[in-house]
Amino acid sequence: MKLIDEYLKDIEREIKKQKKSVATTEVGTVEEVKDGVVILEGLDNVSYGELVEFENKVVGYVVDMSEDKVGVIVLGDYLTIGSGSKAQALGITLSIPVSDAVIGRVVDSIGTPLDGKGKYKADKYYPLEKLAPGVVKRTPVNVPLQTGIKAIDALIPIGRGQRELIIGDRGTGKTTIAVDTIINQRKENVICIYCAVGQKNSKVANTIALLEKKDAMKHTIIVSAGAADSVAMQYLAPYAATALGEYFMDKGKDVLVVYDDLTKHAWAYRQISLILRRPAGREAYPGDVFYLHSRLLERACRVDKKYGGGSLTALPIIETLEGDVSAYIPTNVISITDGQIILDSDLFNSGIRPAVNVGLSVSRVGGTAQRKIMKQVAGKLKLDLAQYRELAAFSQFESELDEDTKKLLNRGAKVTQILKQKKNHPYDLENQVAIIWAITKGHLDELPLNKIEEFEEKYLQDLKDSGKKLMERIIKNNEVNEKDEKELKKFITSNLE
Amino acid sequence: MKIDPSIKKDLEKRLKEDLASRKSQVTIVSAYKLNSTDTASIFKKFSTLKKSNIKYVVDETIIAGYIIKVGSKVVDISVKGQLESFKNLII
Repeated sequence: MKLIDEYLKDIEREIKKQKKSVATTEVGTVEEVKDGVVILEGLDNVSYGELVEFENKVVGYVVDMSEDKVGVIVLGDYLTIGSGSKAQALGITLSIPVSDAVIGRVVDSIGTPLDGKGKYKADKYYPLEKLAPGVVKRTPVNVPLQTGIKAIDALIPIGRGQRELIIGDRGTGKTTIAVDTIINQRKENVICIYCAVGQKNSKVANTIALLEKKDAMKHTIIVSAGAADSVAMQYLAPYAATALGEYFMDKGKDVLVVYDDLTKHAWAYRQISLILRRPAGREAYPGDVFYLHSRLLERACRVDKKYGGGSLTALPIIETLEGDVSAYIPTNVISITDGQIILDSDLFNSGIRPAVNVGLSVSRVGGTAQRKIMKQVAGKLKLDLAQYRELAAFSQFESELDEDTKKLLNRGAKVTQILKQKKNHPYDLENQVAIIWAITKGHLDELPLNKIEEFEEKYLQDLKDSGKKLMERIIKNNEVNEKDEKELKKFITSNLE
Repeated sequence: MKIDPSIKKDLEKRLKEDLASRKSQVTIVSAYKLNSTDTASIFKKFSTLKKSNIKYVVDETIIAGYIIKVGSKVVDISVKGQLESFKNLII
């Protein structure tokens, strides 16, 4: 037993040598557990937005403080938290691990992988809640973000750093527009983040499968908080997606974030607020539901070259009921964003897809970012469509129409036809320019409506096969000059027969 | 209920005092009943501890060491606490 005595002495010496400092911890006791929200007593010196850890290692996030109680939303399984259990303040604010390794992954609101590929390496931690960049750091939007959708790129152009709302009823193709935009960024060097809030998990799985099939996951991150996840996760998901985006933006890269959708995000926040007994306002939303979205979307920006020069483009999605864009949340988000793409279920049902309501949709800052070549060819398009809309309603009552009116109506119908586009087939800038040029110059006026699609396919294939140099030149020169016009016309006439 | 404002004021004062004393309440949990040398060493180590308003609690499950609570602040230097944190470290 001599050995043991010596061993004990060793330990004693070790302990004496060690000057261990004692850490003070803030502790609270669980008083109430509600759906995803826990009310704690104690935690006197905790701060707003701090993380607390429960006995079962589940983490919570402080969102509410009263005189003697603290409201915490639980990030994870709240069913194992019982009243009377202890919670300890961690002294850190909520952050998400960020690094290049997160590209191509599927994560939840706190960076936990959902795709079964294991943890990704963290380079830094970015706080979920961050103040938006100030005025000094910003510069006007001047680089286009090509969505690959003819109707949008030509008429409602989006710039990098812009916030463009996609709004419409359920099943009108809102997600399709966003996903097509992500697919189109394959060659554009834009990192895309698709943030699914309160979506059906099957729908998210479909989107991931589609992006993988289209080879778009290599530049895409999915942040998902499904309909079955806790409201806390749903509430935090958009902020997590933005934090991920900010990491790449700070590295000088261009980022696109799609929030699908913010209606459900508002619902999640409403639930949290009601459980926390905050005073309810219109439609039972709390008073700060405007700030909820404005502080999120304000983080989209184009950073000045002096400060790194990255950008973060936001494409929030809002679902309306029966096309009512004047409801509470839609009007809020419309007023926050730099324009909106309105999708119409009537258009959708009459076969015009994407169902973009060109008359009501606007882009407040994208115009300056639009490519010169696109401006040149699309300028006429806008006018044609506007005149067509005016006449279309009016001409239904007239039996005898004069030639000019007939011509305008014919052109308008053709333009509407040209702006149709198949799902998940984004167009290159070349193709967009080629087809829009053909219609605005009147070359397709004689062609019957039902032949347009066939012509478009043939014409673009022909251009791809034997007109590559011509298109490259047009894009490079940023204009269609007289020589190009003649060549393009040849392609058109040869395919019209 | 009609109450004389002066009584209400007094009550308020009393409540505030009560709350303050509850907040500054010190609880020392130990595995065995502490003698005066033990408490002296604790006060030596934690010089900011107020010597009044102290509650001593004996809890054998903490094995050895102390847990000192002041309001919602906790200093855990018990063997049980150390073992817990060690358990978290290795799992």
